Amino acid sequence: MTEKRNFIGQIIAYLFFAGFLGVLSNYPTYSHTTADQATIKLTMNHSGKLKEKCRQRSEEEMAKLPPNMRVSMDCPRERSPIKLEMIVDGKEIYKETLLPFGLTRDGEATAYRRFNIKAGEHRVQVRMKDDVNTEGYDYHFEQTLTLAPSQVMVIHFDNLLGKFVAI
Amino acid sequence: MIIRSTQKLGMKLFEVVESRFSTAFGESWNPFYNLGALSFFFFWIVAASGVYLYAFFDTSITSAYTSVESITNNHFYIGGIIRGLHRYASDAMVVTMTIHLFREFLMGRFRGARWFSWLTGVPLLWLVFASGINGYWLVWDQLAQYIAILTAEWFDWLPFFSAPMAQNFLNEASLSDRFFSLLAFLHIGIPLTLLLMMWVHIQRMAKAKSNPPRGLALGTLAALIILSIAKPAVSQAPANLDRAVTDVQLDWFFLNLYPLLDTVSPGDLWGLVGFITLLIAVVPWILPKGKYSIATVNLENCNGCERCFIDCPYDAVTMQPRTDGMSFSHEAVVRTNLCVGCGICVGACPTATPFRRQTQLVAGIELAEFPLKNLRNEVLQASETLSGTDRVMAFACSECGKDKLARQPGVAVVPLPCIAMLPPSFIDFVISKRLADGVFLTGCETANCYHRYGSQWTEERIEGKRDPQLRKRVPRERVARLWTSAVNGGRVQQEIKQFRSRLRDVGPMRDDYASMKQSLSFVSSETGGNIHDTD
Repeated sequence: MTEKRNFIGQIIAYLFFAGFLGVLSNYPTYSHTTADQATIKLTMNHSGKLKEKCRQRSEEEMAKLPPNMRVSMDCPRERSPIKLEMIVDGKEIYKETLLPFGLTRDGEATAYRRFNIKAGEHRVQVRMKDDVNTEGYDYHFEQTLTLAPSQVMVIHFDNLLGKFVAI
Repeated sequence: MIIRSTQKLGMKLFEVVESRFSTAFGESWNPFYNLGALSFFFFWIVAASGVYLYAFFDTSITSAYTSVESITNNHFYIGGIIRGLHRYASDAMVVTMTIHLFREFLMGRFRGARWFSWLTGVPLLWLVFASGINGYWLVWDQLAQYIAILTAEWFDWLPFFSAPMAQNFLNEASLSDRFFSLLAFLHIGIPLTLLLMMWVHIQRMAKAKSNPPRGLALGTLAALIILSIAKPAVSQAPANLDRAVTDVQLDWFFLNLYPLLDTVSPGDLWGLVGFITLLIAVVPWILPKGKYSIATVNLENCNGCERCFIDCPYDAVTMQPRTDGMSFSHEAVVRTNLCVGCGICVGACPTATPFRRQTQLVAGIELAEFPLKNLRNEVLQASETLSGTDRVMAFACSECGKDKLARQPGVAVVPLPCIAMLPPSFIDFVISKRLADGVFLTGCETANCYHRYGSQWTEERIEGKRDPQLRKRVPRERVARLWTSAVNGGRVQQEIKQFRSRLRDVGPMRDDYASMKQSLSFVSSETGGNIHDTD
């Protein structure tokens, strides 16, 4: 059975389809950030201090353990959660307690945060606490940063240096 | 109730648009009736163009951008066109896949045994988007930088990674070739998984259409080539992780959710896409399933002819060696978990004839809750409402045809789950027993049949191209058929009017009603002396 076809109609349909693809594949342009903004990325991978210190097991505790596991020292593996905060121009813009990775919470705590701020000069402070057994913050970063429009500034905790560095 | 109304309204809108496309393209080339096949076609265009691009693509982070630029600008015109085809065919696949999803939902093509195709379509959505988004990273331009950072931040919300993935994109110094090679590998692995899942998706569809008609394929390919020349796919400025991305030209087919990440948290976006995915996946189980009757084999009447096995559009009938000692080699077996109750197997069965005199009317294969005996009784009952010389017995598909036939004097309507459930011998029965002056058949458009091949099989049976065929003795001027969508109710009325006019021209049947009653005595005795008895 021969079907009736209207080839003008087909051409219009194909052109519409192609136009639809061509337009939505490219437009409208999206503004992710404005040109007068800069970006600060705060990042760290760090193991907190051990939450509890090693201790000597008592005779009773040793007796309860299977013979192959009778180790006199009990050293819990769990590490301290890490408190991290960032203050820009005296205003706190980020504060979080980061848990160590892993089922037994014995891995690194990690952080990655991206902040868009107006380009220009800013006083930036970062504080980190990695030990639940001490008071106050263990690491401090404070610097006046001059950020150009669209500049990406990375503030990273360098584990070898043991401090935050701005890159 | 609201969902049903939405489905009906949505389907009507589709039918209005589709009828325009049928006028331009013809039924068989209508793009709306070939959405799945077009999606396959676009996949092959993307795959073929991808092979070319990959041959010249450099997977190192320092050379990716320049190699793509070289393909686009230094391979005469061919590189740019192939890149355009790669991109626009991917976009086209998103379009056809999305319309396919909506259309199948509105048509209720997820019910019963069709749950498998519906459910296996859900991962395809993810795989298509993953393939496309991953591909945009490889160009390593500003758009790639934008996608890379936001995708990494989005995935970092999941508690699977020991270190944030976004740390790979902190600045220029932090990016490694190894990570980039992984992306290139994923851009092959994900599409291959997609292809595998596309194959799984059509496994429960007999004679699945995975190739569009040649004319439609060529037209679509030509449109994509013209688009690739008119609006070449080009890179944006090279990525520079030391600079933030400001304005980007998004491909809105693939990246439409990304701007949301500037306003909602990654967790919220996971919640949104997870909820949508789950909602789509459970559709076959949360929406009303509709009533349908499963086919059953009556072994004493099955001669193993294989017609039901050949005609079933869902592969729900298989053949196995005979188990009852009869002299036939095989018998039909219904896989009930695949049966959707269309009744096409009943229409294909040579034993499904209403002329039976010596034995009870039980066909070799029947719908359990709508046996052939009931159908014959419905026909007989319907005939009693008719009078005059232009009496029409209309058999209509319940999915698309029932509503098209507004009740009118002189026309009796017998609805069927699918028009192909009607054995051609019933047409012979109605005319030779003078139950009506003419038989009118109506079902879905052949390229858009709700049960896939119902209209086509019926057409071929009447034309004598498919078994069981309509007997030659049936006067063809007393048989009319119309395959059209529900939206064309006006056309159905027009066709019926013309058909009745033709019947009046042909003249009355020679035998009178009394002799017809007499000839139906065998039916009367079989049904306990009352032809209205439907068991």
